[in-house]
Amino acid sequence: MFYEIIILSIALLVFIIIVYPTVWVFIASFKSNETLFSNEHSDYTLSNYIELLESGFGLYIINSFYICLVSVVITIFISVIAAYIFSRKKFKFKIFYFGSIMLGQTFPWIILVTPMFILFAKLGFLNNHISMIFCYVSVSLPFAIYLLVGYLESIPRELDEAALIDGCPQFQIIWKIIFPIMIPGIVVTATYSFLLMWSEYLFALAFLTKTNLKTMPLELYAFFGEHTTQWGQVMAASALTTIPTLLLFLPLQKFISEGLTTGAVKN
Amino acid sequence: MKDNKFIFYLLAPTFFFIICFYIYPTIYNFYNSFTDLNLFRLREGGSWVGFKNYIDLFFDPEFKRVLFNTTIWLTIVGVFVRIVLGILLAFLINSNTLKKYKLTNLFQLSLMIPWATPSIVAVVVWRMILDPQVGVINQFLLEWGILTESIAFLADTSYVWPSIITIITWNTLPLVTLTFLASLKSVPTDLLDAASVDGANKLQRAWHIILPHMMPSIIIMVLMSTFWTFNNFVFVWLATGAGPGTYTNVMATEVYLRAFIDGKMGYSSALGIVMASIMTVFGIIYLRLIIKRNLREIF
Amino acid sequence: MKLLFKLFSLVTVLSISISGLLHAEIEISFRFNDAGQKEMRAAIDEFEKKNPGIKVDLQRIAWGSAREQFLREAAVGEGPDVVHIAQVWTRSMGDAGALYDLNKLIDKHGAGNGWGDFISGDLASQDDGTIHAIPWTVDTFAMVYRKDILEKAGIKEFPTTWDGLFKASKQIKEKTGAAGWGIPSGSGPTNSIWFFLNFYWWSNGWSLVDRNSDGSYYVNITPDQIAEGIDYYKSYLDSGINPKSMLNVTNWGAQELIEGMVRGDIAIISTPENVMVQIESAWKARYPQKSNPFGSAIHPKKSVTFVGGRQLGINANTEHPEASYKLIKYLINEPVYSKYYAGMWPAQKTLIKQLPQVASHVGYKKQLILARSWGSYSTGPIPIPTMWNWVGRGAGSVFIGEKTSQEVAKEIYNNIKNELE
Repeated sequence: MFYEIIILSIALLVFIIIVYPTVWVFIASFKSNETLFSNEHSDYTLSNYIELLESGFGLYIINSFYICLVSVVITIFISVIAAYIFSRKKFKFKIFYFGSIMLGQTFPWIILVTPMFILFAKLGFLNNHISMIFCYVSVSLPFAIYLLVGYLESIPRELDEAALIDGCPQFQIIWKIIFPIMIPGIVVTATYSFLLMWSEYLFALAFLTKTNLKTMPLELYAFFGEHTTQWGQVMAASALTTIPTLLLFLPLQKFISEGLTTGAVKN
Repeated sequence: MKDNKFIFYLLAPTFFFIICFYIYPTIYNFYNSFTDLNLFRLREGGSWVGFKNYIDLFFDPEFKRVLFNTTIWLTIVGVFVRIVLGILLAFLINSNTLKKYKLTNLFQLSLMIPWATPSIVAVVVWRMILDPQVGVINQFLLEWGILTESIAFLADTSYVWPSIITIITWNTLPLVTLTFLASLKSVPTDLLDAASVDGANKLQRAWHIILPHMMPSIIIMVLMSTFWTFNNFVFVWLATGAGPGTYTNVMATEVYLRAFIDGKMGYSSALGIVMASIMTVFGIIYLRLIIKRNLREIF
Repeated sequence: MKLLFKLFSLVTVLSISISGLLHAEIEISFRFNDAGQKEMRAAIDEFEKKNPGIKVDLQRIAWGSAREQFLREAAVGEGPDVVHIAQVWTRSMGDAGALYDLNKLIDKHGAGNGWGDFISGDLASQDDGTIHAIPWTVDTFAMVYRKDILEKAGIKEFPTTWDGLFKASKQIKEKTGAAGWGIPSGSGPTNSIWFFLNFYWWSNGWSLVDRNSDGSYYVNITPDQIAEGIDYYKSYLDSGINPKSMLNVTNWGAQELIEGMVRGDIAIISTPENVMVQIESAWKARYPQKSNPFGSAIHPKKSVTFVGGRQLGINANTEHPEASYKLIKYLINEPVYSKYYAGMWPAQKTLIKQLPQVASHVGYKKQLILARSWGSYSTGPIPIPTMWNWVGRGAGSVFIGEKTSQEVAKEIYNNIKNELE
């Protein structure tokens, strides 16, 4: 009994630490700019949200959503077929190829910005969502491929081998047989990629300057002005930024843990 | 032969992205690291200076500090804290106590919240929490008499690194925890039962059976965590701006300062190449020694 | 019949193309980075009404990234047509070929009340007379204080010497527990300590960069003098007057300062005018019955502050220089300032005289009269952001006791000296 009380109190403490910061953001988003940080006096208002939406924040959310969604779909497509190859096929220098993809994660993004900027400028892709999608897919691929290879390893080869003997073309095998079983692993990959891209700032800043193309993190940072910060808007924007991801991934929670479980077995 | 073609076509998209996004910028940065390219003279390009940037780099006293901060504080301590807390948290969530009171799902769901919070929001809120005047931590410590004076967590050199690590951990622990939780759940129960029949207590079972089973996950997480943390710019920059002075300067912030404040893009390219090289060497050693052992079946 | 048809189609085609030409719309983009986006949009709508055929797209970027972003864009032929820049960026941006030469446009269409009426005109142009931007707004720092706290501590008049300011701060701390001068001492690249150090140095006639009569630049300060300034501000931290938490506050308008003033934890700060506006409105929102306790004053020793300012430039890659200049001409005139851009003073002396002033802000007008432009700092070869970063970081290292002020002073001195040669 005593043991249980200790565990439960620790759990409570941990729970508060995990949840408190974000909850604070939500509460603060309803406070007026003037009283946001004050503990005694609080004016509650909807004006932060109203001003935010009036200034077109809704458009930025849509842009972010669109870019991230397309990027995730492309990432999944490419990483599934790549993972299939790495898991099921044998070929020369396999570890070299695999390693070079993993080593992609060793680069600090900050030095990748300027060369990509120049490249896209020359190709005319600045202020174009294509450039964003390209970058986001690139940064998600290494971890996605790693995750999916691990997951595929736990799926018995006999499954696709049987289909092969039956004369089914390989490409179809991937999508008709393997893909459905991999869904939990795919969900994990999608979650990880989506959350990574959703709050990304460095590339978006460099490539998107036309107002109607901007993503939501850009607008969030823009509220940090030269002299002062519009904290009310920052909080409201932060809340609006966090809600869609919560709504999207809370229900997918179950899949995520399943995806990590099976992937973990063979690992 | 047909199979080779198939392999090629399926891997081609991946390598298209990898080459354009990683190889090309590396070559660009590599070339620039031998020039004196300047932010104000981008159009003209830089003129060749050979190894000057690298020599300046290795003799710069600031570089030693930056290397120390990034390697020891940011990466080694940060990754260590994250892994240990991740394991402990996974044990907590999986514990029978929570299962008994049906709190497991609630806990797992709550983990999504820090993960879904964008880093800038995380930093802003934690700065508030750590604030000496209005922050809850100081208020709590003062009220309970543990302190007589509030601590300026992000300004005091004795507390600033732990504070930064706290913020980073809060934001990045969920993925680590969920991975470990998954691994934890997959421990074969018959093994555990057999052990408890043999008289092993909870702690012994954890140490001798569960942890070894989780080892592959832990190893991979250490590698990934290291990559993500070593190169991280956002958290340090937003929390302390690499200050006070240059106390919390890390390699990524130094790259930013040199490239965009001083305008010395050639020098910062050299710095970036050094960063990537360190991580590459680390990655290769890691891959050879450890992963090969565990993923031998594939390779 | 055939001829009629041909004639008819010719007329149709002609009239369509002519009307097409007449209604051809020019689209330009204006990057404006301050908070009053709604108000600026209203101002631009007025402009569009007066200038049918020109459509203006309003953009915004975080100030912290604005400089590097524009430089990147200009290097590859992109970027907005009209750009809102800090006055200390103009020269180096013009040098880098990012800004359009405005001389011909100014000769043709005029600018305000003549070039001499502009403040910081020297920062907007190169040595050879090429003008790269039009000064738009100015502001400066003044000391803002809580009259009630000073009274409580027994201070009748706002101190007028640096020493006096220190003693008064100490008195405030001892008698009321509030911090005297709350000095943001953080070391980020846009730190505040750079400004305060320069005020101190300038008030003594020293300067990091000055110009000889032959046009060459030199360092007009010794390492000892640099160290004196740093030590002055260190003394506030060491004696507990300035709370240690200020080491993590970089910005002169940071929330910690505003909250501190409103709650009475801090009695004095040095800050731009629109921060004072924020403080006063926060006070009003929380204590609507109490009267405004804030006052403003000039810096000690009749210290010269800098004139901070923003300017409007045209992208060198623009396709519509005329339309862009039309927009700029509109923006530098009344009633844009009073109607749409409150809190900022126009960068033209005649207009400043015209605009009214709030009573509690009287210190600002006084300080503005005393203010100087960055002058040689900006016209010299070292970009101000670079020096800004050196000084801020150096001071920070001294504040936490990592280096001595002598060491840092020598570093700063040598850095500047080497670059000037």
